[in-house]
Amino acid sequence: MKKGKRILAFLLTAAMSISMLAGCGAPTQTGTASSAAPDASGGESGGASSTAEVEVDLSQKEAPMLAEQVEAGELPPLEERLPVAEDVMVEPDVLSLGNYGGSITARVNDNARWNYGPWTEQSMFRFKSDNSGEVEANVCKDFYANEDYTVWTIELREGMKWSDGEPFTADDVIFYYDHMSTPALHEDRTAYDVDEEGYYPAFTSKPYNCYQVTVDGENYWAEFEKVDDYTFTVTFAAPKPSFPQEVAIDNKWMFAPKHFYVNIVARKDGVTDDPTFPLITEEEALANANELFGKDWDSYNTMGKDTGYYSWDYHIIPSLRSFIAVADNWNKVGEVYELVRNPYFFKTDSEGRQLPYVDSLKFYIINEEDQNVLKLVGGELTIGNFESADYSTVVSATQETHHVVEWNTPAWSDTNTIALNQTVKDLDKRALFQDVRFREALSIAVDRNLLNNTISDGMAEAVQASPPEGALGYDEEWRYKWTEYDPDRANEILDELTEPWDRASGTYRKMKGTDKDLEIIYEYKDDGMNTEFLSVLKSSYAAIGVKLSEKINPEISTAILANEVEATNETVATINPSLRPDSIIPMRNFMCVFSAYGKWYEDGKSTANGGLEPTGDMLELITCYENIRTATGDDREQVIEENINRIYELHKENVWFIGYLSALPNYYLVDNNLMNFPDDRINADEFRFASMMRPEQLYFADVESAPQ
Amino acid sequence: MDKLKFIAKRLLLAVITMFLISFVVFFVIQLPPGDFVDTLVTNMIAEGEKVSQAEIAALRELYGVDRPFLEQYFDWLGGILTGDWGTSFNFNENVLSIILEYLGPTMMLSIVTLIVQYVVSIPIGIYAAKHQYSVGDYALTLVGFIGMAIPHFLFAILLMYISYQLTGTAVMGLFPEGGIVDFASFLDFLKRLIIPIIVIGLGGTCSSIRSTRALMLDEQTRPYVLCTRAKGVKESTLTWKYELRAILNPTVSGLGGIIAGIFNGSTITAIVLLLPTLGPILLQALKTQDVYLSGGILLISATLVVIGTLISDLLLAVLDPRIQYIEETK
Amino acid sequence: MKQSADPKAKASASSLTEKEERAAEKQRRKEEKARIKQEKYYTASQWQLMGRKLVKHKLAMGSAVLLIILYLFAAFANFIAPQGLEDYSSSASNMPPTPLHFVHEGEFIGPFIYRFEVERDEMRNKIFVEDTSTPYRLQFFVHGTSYKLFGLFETDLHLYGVDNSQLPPGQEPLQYMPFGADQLGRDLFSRILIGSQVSLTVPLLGTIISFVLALVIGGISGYYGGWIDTVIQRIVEVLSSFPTLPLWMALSAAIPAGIPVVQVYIWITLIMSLMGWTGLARTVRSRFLSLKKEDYVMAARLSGVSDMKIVAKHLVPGFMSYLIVNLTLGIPNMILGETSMSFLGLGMRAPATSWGVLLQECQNVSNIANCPWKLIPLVFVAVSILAFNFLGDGLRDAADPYK
Repeated sequence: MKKGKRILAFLLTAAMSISMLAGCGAPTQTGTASSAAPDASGGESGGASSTAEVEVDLSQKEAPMLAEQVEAGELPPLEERLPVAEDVMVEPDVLSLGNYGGSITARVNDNARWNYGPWTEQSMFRFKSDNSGEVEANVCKDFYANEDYTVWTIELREGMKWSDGEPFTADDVIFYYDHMSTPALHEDRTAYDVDEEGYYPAFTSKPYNCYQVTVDGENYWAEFEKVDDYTFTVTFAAPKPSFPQEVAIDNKWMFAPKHFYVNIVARKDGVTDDPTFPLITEEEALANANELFGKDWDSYNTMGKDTGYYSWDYHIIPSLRSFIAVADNWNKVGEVYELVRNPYFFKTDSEGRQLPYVDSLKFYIINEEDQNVLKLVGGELTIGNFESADYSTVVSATQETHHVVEWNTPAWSDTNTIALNQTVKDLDKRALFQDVRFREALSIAVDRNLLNNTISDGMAEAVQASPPEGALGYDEEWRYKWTEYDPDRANEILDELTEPWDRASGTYRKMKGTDKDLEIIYEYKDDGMNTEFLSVLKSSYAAIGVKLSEKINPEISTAILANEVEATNETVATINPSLRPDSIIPMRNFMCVFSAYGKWYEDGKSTANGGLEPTGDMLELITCYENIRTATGDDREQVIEENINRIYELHKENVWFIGYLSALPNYYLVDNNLMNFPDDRINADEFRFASMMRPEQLYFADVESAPQ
Repeated sequence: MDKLKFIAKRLLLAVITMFLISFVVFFVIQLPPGDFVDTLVTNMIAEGEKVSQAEIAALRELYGVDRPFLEQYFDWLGGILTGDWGTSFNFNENVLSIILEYLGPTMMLSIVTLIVQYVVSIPIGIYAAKHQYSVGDYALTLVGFIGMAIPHFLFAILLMYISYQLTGTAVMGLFPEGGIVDFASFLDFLKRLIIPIIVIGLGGTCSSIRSTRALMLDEQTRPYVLCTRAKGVKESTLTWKYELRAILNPTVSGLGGIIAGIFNGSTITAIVLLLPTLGPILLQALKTQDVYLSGGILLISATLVVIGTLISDLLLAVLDPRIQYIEETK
Repeated sequence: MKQSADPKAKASASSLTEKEERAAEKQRRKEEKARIKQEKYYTASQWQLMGRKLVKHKLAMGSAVLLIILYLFAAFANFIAPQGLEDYSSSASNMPPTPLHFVHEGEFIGPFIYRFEVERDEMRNKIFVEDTSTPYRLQFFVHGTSYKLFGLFETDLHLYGVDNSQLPPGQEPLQYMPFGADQLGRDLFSRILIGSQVSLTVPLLGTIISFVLALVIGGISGYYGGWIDTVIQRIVEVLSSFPTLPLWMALSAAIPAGIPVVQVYIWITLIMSLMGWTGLARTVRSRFLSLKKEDYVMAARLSGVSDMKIVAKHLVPGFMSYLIVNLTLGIPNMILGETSMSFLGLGMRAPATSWGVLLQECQNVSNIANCPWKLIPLVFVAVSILAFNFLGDGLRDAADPYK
């Protein structure tokens, strides 16, 4: 647990400083890449292999497999594949110089886009690997804003190429934004409503908040403008200081290969004289796509959804990623999904040697955890992931060949939580669920030490759901609030809130003034529920007269939309509420806790469609969020900090999310032959999980004995 | 002529049953609440999108899941009859081509398991009956029932774990990486067949051993057996030529069910053992409400049952003339 | 041969003296007794005969005794088990079977156990070290978790166990666990016993319902033939190709939260048995089809025997073995059916338990590698299935008229 403190401590200071945004993506970041000295961070664990002395052949500037192709005339020489010399990205996160060759074997499940994506993805801006919460240029060369943050200028790398050798330019960004990402827009850049004449849905997943600003309750879309082939501007109707961070979270890949997509994107603006993007109808686009991909999409919309944003890993779509898929078999359970190095990848190490070091990534597509454990104990994976329950099994079997690296997470608690719907339809229940004393009773009714020693093998800590030590918002008092096991006190509290109860076993309390059992219906998606936790939770609640009934609901997401879920096991894992607020602010209708409140906000503060207007502390959360969004003046930094603090304070007072145990770190089992695996990173969605290992800089000490 | 009439009548009945079954199948897969749009919306929310009720309604229309049940059914049935099995929502591919891709390995595995099951169980069952209450009989009974007492899931994991303990790597999947290209990879493939066959076939083999044993015991004491034996016919001839016929009837009449059992019952095993069969695809399709895919797969498996029953009825008539007579005079 | 003894005795008795007569009287009475016994044998119904033969079948009797013991254990499970289902313990989590000691510091003090200290090595393997300072004696009739015997009498008396009522505050209760503990530190033996209450009853019920349905419907279909047969056979076909997977999924969604788990399980079993009779029914039908044209059946029919009687007396005994085997084979399927039900979210829900739940809990690699004692429920499933089977074998032999 000590290590957690050390690693997360960075977050505390740095993530607060959103004001530094404008400067933090400065060109110095990329221009003067630090020499890739061997790993200086030298962690406590797992560092051993990274510091091994490995002889590196610096004369090799590219992988032998590519050199052969160049020799044979199948591929242009390296200089022509990389951006121009001064625009090449010298990867600052290379821990030590490595050799070319070998394949990394790992495991993903068949819902793989979420899993393997971070291994190869290249976003426009990315979070730094120092866990500071700052972003830096990645695909772009530089970015900066004007004085009042209304115009952002982004510079691209000259000579940079897609994986098929076509140049990557500002046209690719603007094409994506104008023709794939945004819906139809009015003159003033507000969007058409669904039922409005002229409505036109976006080609890919819908565009995100990062391109919108709110002025007087109206959402305005940013305007993209090309300055030259390698420069474009993004103009907002109001200041947008956090634009790069928001993009890094919301819309990381704000570009698409125009030369490919012109064939399958129907032009919606009716322009006919653009030779680079001829007008095609939706039918033609669909027919083209079905032929290109060999698919049977029924409609243009489904095709767009399936080839857009989250889905552009079809191997025929040119990409900027470090590794490119060989075939589209990511959803074929039991097969190996292989990605090989992108010959046009735009990054090198400090010696000008093109990355990535390893030849390919091979993902076993495995859904069952047991198969994963068997692969791990058999030493078949270069980098593996496992659950804490399998720690001793996996580590005992592989102690000669592998080591464990732990990455901490910013999660408020593990997944064994209970979150009560504050807008539950039953009004008697709603009164109880909204009562902070009721939540206190539910919290102290459970023996956290028992839970820890049984379901977490004693490795977790008995805590309340709250930001972990070292993270932004950490508060020791909150962390241990209501964590003392005290069923007697819980009963005392409930005696005040319910009808008298004689404590006979098998009976439950009646809700105040009613003849109805105090029952909480706890719904969850079938996978990933810990039945042992449920067993203890049921028994503990029964001991204070609260009946916990469980229901497996595969459609829980739509049930939450309809405000039909009473309670579920929601967890919060946000690094900064100003960047990703939707899990702790009632602004969206997807968290059970906020159900109808979120609906109210989503509908533009309307109760017309089942929304419920929040009051008191809930309403204040919204106010704080809006203060953050609209803060623009000189005191912006201060306003944001104050409001973030207030948001945490409100959560601390109310404990809307009841947690019992701290989240365990993410365990990586790493082959000792693999070098450069970093051990001080944080496993978070915002930081894009595995992306933080910077897979392109991993290499094998002994290439001969690595998987090929 | 009578025979032809009988077969024609039986075929006609099979066709009627198929229509009935297709209706039942399409009805039952629609029973679980929600539809594919729910799955889609869940994913969209996970991706951080806002989804409004109006958009959900639009999506329902797009996927055609908002239409009345009967309309959807006849649309689907019409498609099946004309060779268009619909598009899988999940894979965006023609359902028939997905099914055909997995049908090969599925049928192969089913048939091999079925053959192994009979080849193993019938001789053992006969042995157990001929040596009733011997040590061998007890030992086989014991092994058989312990085999039946282990759930497929647990048994598959146990065997995989044992294979890991023995060889250092756990055997999973059916085809070696890179496919079957030479003799070595063919041998590897055969090796990989062992565990699935044991797991899928064990239950069936054990019950088949017990049934064979019981039927043979019933037959053993029949007067005709005593008589034949008294006439000095060799014991082996008696067993294989006369008594064995007795087990044909129940074995054959259960054929349809057995085929379906292997086809469907192996779903969990296939998931645990990473087998490229239709079972896991079906489960996923059902979970995500990919109705055309799940409907197609279920229709195929139902067809197999009907064909199996048809074959068994025809076979029974051939094997047991008494039945033929009855069926014909019905 | 004994038959001929009777008239002989009667014939010779008339020409004898008084003394002899008395002796003969005695003899006669004796013979009368034998005759009555003999007569009883001949007039005994088939069932009585079967019963008699069954008693002689040692293995079957052994199995019957074993089953009776198992059912008694199930009936008194809460009393025999030292723990209830909610006696969690953080120190006993995943503890291997407790060693039982008799001698403490060189002195025999009867059965007792020691408390365990839990340590972990650097690979987080749990090591349980006995703390031999204090012995905890195992006693009969100790007070523990309260329960309702037969669902009626509230009591906290348990057959045996460590008496935890005198523990100083702050000390966690401990218990003798002959089969080790599960992840939540509960005694596996107690859970097996309490689980047997469900697993030894509901599946049996389900199997019998299936069996009766198969026999009746298959019998009607095969015996009467004609359009009845055609209709029934189509129903069988539709049912046996009925997609059960989506059906279970629909059911699991339809069951409201908060319904008692055992009730859910009973309903599921009922539905399973309503779906599961088709295979056997087809077999019964085809056997009937072939048997009903046998000469002896024809003869019976010609002499005016009722249909029911023909079926019961002449057709069913013809393949009794097969039927009994089918019955015994159905039980494991029903017990194990529950484990696959849990796969779909339809099984028993914690903390309620059954053998299926216990098997479900142990089926992962880490348990197999580190906690092999969690596989013990498998032995109970196998033993009870074997017992049912051997009893079935005995019944079969007993039912065999040629033996």
